[in-house]
Parts: sequence; structure tokens; C-alpha cells
Amino acid sequence: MPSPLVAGPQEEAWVHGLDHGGTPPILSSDTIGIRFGGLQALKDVTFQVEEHEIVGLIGPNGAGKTTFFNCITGFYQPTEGEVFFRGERITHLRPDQRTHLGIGRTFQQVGLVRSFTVLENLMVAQHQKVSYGSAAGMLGAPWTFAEEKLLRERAFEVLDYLGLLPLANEHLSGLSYGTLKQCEVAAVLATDPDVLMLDEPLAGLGPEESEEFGDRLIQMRRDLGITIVIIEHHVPFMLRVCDYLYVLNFGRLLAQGEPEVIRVNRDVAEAYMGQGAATLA
Amino acid sequence: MERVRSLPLKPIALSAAIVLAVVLFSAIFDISLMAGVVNGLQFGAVYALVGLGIALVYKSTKVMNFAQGEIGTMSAWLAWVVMAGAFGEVLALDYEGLDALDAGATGPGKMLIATVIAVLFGAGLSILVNSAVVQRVANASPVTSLVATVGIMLLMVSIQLIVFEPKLRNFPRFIDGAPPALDVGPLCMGTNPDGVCGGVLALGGIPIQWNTILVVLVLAGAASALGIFFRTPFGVALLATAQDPFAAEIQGVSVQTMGAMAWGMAGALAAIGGILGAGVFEKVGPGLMTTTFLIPALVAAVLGGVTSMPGAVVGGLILGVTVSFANETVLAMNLTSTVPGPPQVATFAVLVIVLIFRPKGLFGKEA
Amino acid sequence: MATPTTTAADALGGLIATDLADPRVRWRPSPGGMAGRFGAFAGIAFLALWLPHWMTGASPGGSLVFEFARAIVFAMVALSLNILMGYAGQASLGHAAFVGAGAFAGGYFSVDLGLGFGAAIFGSILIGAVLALALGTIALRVRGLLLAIVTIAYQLLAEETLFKVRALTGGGAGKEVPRPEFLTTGSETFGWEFSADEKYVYFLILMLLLTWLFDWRLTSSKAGRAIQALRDDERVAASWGINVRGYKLLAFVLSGGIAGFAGLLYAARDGVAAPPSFTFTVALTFLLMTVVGGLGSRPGVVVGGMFIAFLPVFLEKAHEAWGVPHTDDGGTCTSLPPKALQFLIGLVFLAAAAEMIRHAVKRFRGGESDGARLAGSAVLGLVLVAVGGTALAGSITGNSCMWALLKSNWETFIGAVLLLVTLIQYPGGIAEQFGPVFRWLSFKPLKSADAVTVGGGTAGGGMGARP
Repeated sequence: MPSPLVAGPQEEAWVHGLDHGGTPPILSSDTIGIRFGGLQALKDVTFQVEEHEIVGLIGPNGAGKTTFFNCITGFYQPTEGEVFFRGERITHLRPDQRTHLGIGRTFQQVGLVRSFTVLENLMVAQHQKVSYGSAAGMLGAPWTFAEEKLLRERAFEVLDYLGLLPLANEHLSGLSYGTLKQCEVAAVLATDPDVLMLDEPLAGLGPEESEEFGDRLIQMRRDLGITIVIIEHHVPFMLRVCDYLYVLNFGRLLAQGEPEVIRVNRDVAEAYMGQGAATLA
Repeated sequence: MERVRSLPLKPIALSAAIVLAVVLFSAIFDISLMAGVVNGLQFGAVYALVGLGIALVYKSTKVMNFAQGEIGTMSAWLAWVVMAGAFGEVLALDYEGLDALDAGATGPGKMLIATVIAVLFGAGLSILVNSAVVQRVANASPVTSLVATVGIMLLMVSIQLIVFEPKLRNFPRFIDGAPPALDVGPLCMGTNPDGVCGGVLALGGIPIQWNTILVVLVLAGAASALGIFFRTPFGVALLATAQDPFAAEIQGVSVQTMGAMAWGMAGALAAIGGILGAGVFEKVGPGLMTTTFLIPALVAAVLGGVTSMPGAVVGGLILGVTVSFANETVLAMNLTSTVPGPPQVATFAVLVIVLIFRPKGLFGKEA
Repeated sequence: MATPTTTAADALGGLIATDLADPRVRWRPSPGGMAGRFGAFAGIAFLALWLPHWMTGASPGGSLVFEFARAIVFAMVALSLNILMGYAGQASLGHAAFVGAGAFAGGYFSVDLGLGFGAAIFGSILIGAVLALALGTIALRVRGLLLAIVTIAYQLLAEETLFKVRALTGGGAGKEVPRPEFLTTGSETFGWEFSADEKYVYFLILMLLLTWLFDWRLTSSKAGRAIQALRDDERVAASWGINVRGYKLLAFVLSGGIAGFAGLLYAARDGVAAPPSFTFTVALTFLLMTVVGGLGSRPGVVVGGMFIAFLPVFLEKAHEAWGVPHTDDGGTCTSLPPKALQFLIGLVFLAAAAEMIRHAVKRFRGGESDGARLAGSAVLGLVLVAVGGTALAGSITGNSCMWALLKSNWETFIGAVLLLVTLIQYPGGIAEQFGPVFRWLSFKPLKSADAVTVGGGTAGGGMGARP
């Protein structure tokens, strides 16, 4: 369970990276590098996320953002470096083990179970929260029925929170891409994460919907006390929503800092828009 | 970028170590290594032929064709019908008439004609299978394509059962017997029945049949032909289509035609394999190629790397020799009662070893 | 979100005045709908109880009952294979290995160890599960196609090695697998006489029901959902905290255990477990019946299993009844129903051929230039014409009677055709075709848009059945 939001980013004078009462950052990496054959996809990527922060990861296409996400969440094994969760080394853990710790993520292509309805997806997503064992479930032990009811109710709660309740019994094949991305966010929330890692959540959303989503993210941080890490291309969005930004280019950290600092960073602007660009937005 | 090609030391050392171990093992337990090699070559060559067809289709169209064996058996049956003159009986389902016919004594000339017809039939049948069935399920998962080819295999076996009944029928070889012994000065390769250099051609006392030589030569020929083909514009186009169908279409290459070509060639290979395979046992029966050769051919393809055609050839020969050697070992060590079915055990063991230590096979590129 | 309007289908399924817009409320059929469904279930239960008794009377020596027993066992095997292929999406072309292992293990526990039928049940499930676990561990090192090959390989290995070891399987004669005491003799209740075979069938029906219930609970709980999730997308499942490898192995274990149990029941029917019953061909039959039944659907695979099991019986009966010349008039194609039937079948084939050729011509005119594909369709069309024409002509002249040809030899042929037709044309199999019926029976509305389909039970999933 994420710790209650006592004080945090945008609440008071917050400085990223400073030691806050001795607690380690909730998520951090130390000189992560990964090699695919002859290609060094990531090198020397060190980053930290403090609890309750919204951290953004930006960079041109092919910079290695999703690759980095995959290293953090356990889908890739980095060839160098370590990943830490609340100060504990998790580099050797499988993805499902990291989810148990409290890391949830979305995928670039929609990460949902295609043959299930929206509701069923949210039921599966709560897998690690189920209190009965697999065997009890298969044998139809009486307490499993009550638990199943509880899972259904929790699923409806999450859907309602994101305004997706009417779609609960719909099959995924009939829904638009943008809606599916929203359902995916609902599913990840159902895993009850402490850290929510979103990979291009705005894909398929128009400008108003993107605005709404940004507000919703900030709302979520407040209501649920979660930490959020986002990969996105939509730079104004990132400048508005994030407390801190990391910029990747060709697999290396190009710059890091608060949004205003990044906005006027010349190197970053040039990486995105070519020679001679002065600011990012 | 300069690529320095160095000798692959690790595989060479490993192979040398394995060969040495095998030789020592045979010496200690008095196992006829030569028998293993000579017998194994015959089977291995047929495994390689079938495996080559499988690798060809997989590399070109990403489909694992489980019907590869049966296309061969159907072609062998057609050859049988031509040689036995059984057209009338087959069409009328005259079971007694069919039993009265025998193709076992066909001369090489007639057999050659029958083979040519069968090869054309095999190619055509393979193309039909592709267009009528495989193409239709191409969009679903690769396992669905596999199951579809399994269905085709079942269909073909069932047709054979209905038409020819579950019986084995005589099937000729191109050349019977074995060539005479080779006497080249100090080297004598013969059975030497009278203590003097003579008899038939043999290696370490094990006779080498004409059929074995033929099968190995045909394999070499087929492999070379394919090797040459893939350097021609057609062949290159085929490989390109396999790697990136979309790009190929843009370039004006018809993906359908390329697929048909690949399946056609594989069908011809299957037919050759079927006729030679039937020749190994001198019998043909329903489902022959699948029951005897398909699984080893699949394992051979996996051993060599399913995307590699030379791999399938090498894999087939290695597997053939391994299986034969396993047979010899069990015989020599009197383990027949404890270890039933040494060929199957050996085949499965090879598969398991490959999957555990090197899933992409000897020459393959995907894991 | 459009609120569904009431249609005739709804009237049949029934709707009480619930708020349709609120998906939280579980849909309930109307009183009429409820009554209808309960009536249908009562009918099925009645059939299940009455059929075995009727079959004993209808067939000499009770052979039909015997076949019915086989059909029920096949249905259980189909359910077990459905867990592996339908829910977990892992191709299994070697399931007969587990069935056979269970049969032999059952014999070993009850006879060799002398522990009786209860121990045999335990032993068969245990051995089936353990074997599946071992083989699953090897198979899961690879994906997709190679996995399918590994399943074939272990089936053949089991067939050629394990099942040939004399000590385990009694060699060619097979291993004795006796039924429990109370099922070896007939008995009398309420004035009705039940033969041993009939009682065995009732027992089997009960076992099938238990398996069905287990499967239902499986899919309605976290394990079943996890298994199905990893079929569709392993990464997503992992990101939701599911131990992918663990649950895949669980699917193997459950599948193998149930298959082993089914093997025991099959062997106990005959009283002996013989290796020829568990060959690669049999494994392919299992695959076939599950795919044709509809992967992922409980009722579908049960119907598929029973249909395929009864197929050779149908064919043999048709051959006996209509294909063998009788001295009296109830014989070959001279009698009216078979002649008419043959005529109809000929018509159907010709119609299918005409449709196929017409379709091919249309595509050709429409500019399709794929020569190979058109040629393929044309050849198939011609084959259909040939068969249909022969059947038609034969029925009119009375000279050629197709029933004479029909022997159980044809079951593989028909099975293969059904498999191909299912894969190409009707991916959901029987389950998809009878979808509405199965949905209605599951107390769901006929329109799937309103249905909460948690736990499956409808067609879908499996090997690309749903786009």
C-alpha cells in the first residue's frame, strides 16, 4: 500500500533528489546499461523517483525509453547496473515479483487480455490481491465465493473512478484505441501499485482528452498517494504535469531537471528539433 | 566494419571430443561403430531429405508443414499405382484386384518414369495444400497452421487407408544389392568372404548397399540444387519474401507465387523422399513416411536449426548415425529388454539435449 | 453505450425490469426464461438417466452402452485437453501419453499394489499429473511450434518406450484394470434391473459432472483467469503479478491429472489397459475433437468429444443397416430411406461444389490473379462434383450404394475433414455454431453484449478463434 500523502511535490518547497528524512527513493536505477548483440541500447542511465512524485521520461524516438522501462520492470535484464525499490536491489527479480512489490506498468501496444471483457480484465488484474489460494479456488471452497464478490466490487470501483463503468461488460474488440488505453490504466490501478509506470498513455487521445488525463493523473496522485513515472512525446503535457524530467537520447541521459530547466535547455531542444533550436516549447 | 573470421574453436573442439568419446566407447563395449555409420547413413539421408523440405517451407513461409511426410507417401503410392498398373482397381476400389497386383519387380526404367510422374504430382499436391488450406489459416497463430497441416496429414492417411487398406505392399528399389568390393592397392573395402579381398563393397565388414549410395547421392544432389537455386534471382526473391513479405510486394514480387514455388519444391523433395524411403524398406503402406520418418525429420530440422537448410541436412545425417548407433549399443550390451524402442529414445534424447543446451540448433538463427 | 432494445430473443431469454444501463446489476432471466432453462436441464438429466437403460435394450449385448461409456470418457479427455489448449493456449499433440499413463498407473495401484479402485483413482491422477509436470517442464523451454513438436515427441516416446515396458504395461496383452466391485455386476432398484455396464455409465456421468464442476470453479477463480490471461499476452499477465511459468505448469498438471483419471475410467470399462489404445493417432483424435468442439468452451468440447466418439458407431451401424445385402427387404440401397438419403447427400455435395466454383469464378472475374489459389478451389470443386455426382447417380440407378463403402475406416477421414473445415471456415467449432444455445443454457442472455462472461463457457479464446 502506498504511504499516505503527507507532504510531497507541488505541496511545498520540494527538491528532487534531496534526502528526505533518510528514506531512499521509492524507485531508482544505478548506471543501467543494456546491449543487444552489437547495439548498446542504454548506457549509464541513473535515475531516481521519490515517493509521490510524477517523473517524466522524454526523448526522441528510439532513444531507449521503453527499453529502460523494460529494464526497470524486469522484462529485460540489464547487462550493467542495478535497479532498486525502496533501497532494495531488485535487478534479479521477475516482472511478476516486482508487481508484488508495488510496481505497475502499461505497455506501448495496449496491454490487456484480448478475449476478456473489461470487467474480466480487471478481475485478472487483481490477481495478487486475491486472498484465497489457487487450490481453494479450483475446489470451490465456500470462502472463495465471497472473495470473488469482493473482487467484482473493487473492479467496479476502479472503473467508476476512471469513468469507465458503463463499459464494464463490453468485449475489447468493440472499443476504440483511446478507450482501451484508459481501460489499461484501470487494470494497472487494480493491481494496487505504489509506483505507476505509464508508457505513452496519451496515444490515441485528442487534445481535450489529454488535458483531462493530465488532470486525472494529478488527482490520482492526490487520492491514491501513488508515484507516477511517464514516458510521453507530448512535451507541453509533460512540462505541465511532471515534477521532474529525465531526457534520454541515443540510450544515454542527455539532461535532467525540473520542467522549466529542461524547457530552456539547448541540448534538449536541439535533440528534438534539430540544430539551432533554442527552447523546447 | 571489418569482420575477422576466426576458426570456431569451441564447436570443433566439442565435436572432436564427442567423436573421440564415441570411438572409445565403441572399442570398450565392442560395439560395431561401422555398422552404426553405414546403416545410419541410409536412414539419415532420408531424414535429411524430409527435413530439408520442412526447413525449406518453414524458412520461406514460416509454416511447420506436418504433412510433408504424407505428401511423400501419396507420391510413392502414385508411383506404385503406375508401376503396378493399378489405375482401374484404385478407381473402382477393387480390393481383391489390388491385392493381386505387385510392383516389387519393376525395372529401373519404368521406375524412373513412375518417379518423374510422382515428383510432378508431389509438387502439385503440395501447392494445392498450400493454396487450399494453409493460406486460409495463415493469419491465425503459427500453431493453428501446424494443426491445419496435421489435419491434412490425417486426411491423406485416411484416404490411403480407404483406398489401399491397412496393408504393406511391395515396393522396388532402383538398384538392388551392393557394388563389388573396391581393391585399391593397400586399401581393401570389401566383405572378404574367403579371406582374400573380394565380395561386395564394405566398410569394416559392413556391406554398403547400392541403395545407400543412391540415397546419399540424391541428397547431395538435392542439397546442391537448392544451394544453387538460392543464388539465382528467383531464389533470392524467395528469401527476401520470407524475411519481409511487405517489402517484397512493394518491389513487385508476388508473395503468393513465391509461396507456391517454395511449397512446390518442397513437394517434389517430399516425393523423392517418399520413393526412396519406401525403397529402404522395400514396402509401402498407409502413413509410411509419417510414422517412420517425419518425427526424426522434425528433430533433424530442430537439431540443425529450423531456419537452416544445410542444418537440416547435417542434422538428418547426424541423427541417422546417432539412432543407428543407439541401436547397435543396445544390441551389443544386451539391453533390448530393458530399453524398448532405442530409435525413439535416441531421437527424443537428441531433441531434449538440443532444447536444453542450444534451442536454436546448430546453424539456426532464432531461438 | 446504447441500451439494447427488446427483441424476440430477449423475450425468450427474458428480462425483468432491471436497470440495463447499470452493469453492476447481474442479469437475471425472466420467470419464463428461468422455467424454460430448468425444464431443459430436467430434460437433459432425464435423458442421461434413461438413455443407458434404453441402449441396453436397443442393442444386442448392450454394445451401445459400451460405446456411450467411451463417449463420456472422450468428453472428459476433451475437457482435460481444453485446459491445456483452450485455456492455456499450449498446443498438445501428445495427450494420449497422459491418458495411457493414468490407465496403467490405475492398474498398477489397484492390482499390483492390491489397494483397490479408490487408490487407482488417486494413482491415475497423480501419475498423469506428474508426467505432465515433467514433460511440461521440457516443453516450456520453447514456444509455439517447437512446443507442439515436443509434445509429439513425448507422445511417441511414451508409446514406444514407457508403454512397452512389460513390467508396467503387461506387454501386448495389456494390464488388468478392474472396475470397483459394485460396478462389476448388475443390480436391481425400485423394480428396475440395471446391468453392470449401465451402472458404470451412470458412474461415468457422475465423474464427468464432477470434472465439469471442477473446470467451472477453475475458470471462475483466480487460477483459471490467470491461465487464460497468459494465453493471450504473457507480458501483460506478468505485469499483473502472475507467475507465468508457474501457471503454465499448473495448466499442464491439471490437464494431465484429469487425462490420467479419464484413462483409468476408459481402461476400467474394458477391464484392461492396452497400449494400442493410447497411440499417436489416438492423440490426434483427441486434438481433433477438442478443436472441432471449440477451444475454450466446456459444452463445446464435451459435445465434440462425444460426437467424435460416436462417429465410428454411426458409420458402422449405417453400413450394417444399409450397406450389407440382406435377404429380406430391409437392406441395401433398394430400400427407400437410404436411397433418398444418398440422393440428398449427392445434392448437398453438388451444391457445395457449385458454390465453390461460383465463388472462384467471381474472384477470377473480380481480378484476383492468384493462380495457385484459384486452381486449388477449382480442383476441390471438381472433387466435390465427382463425389456428389457419383452418389446421386448411384442412388437413382441403385447400382452403386455408398453405404456399402462406409466402414469405421471413414471416421478418420470425416474427422480430418471436420478439423480442416473448423480451422478454415468456422474457427469457433461446434461451440460457435451452437453458441446461442449454450449461452441460453448457462443462464445468460442471448445477446453476448449484455453477458458477463467471466470464466468462459462461450466460444472464444484458444488458437486465434477470436480475431
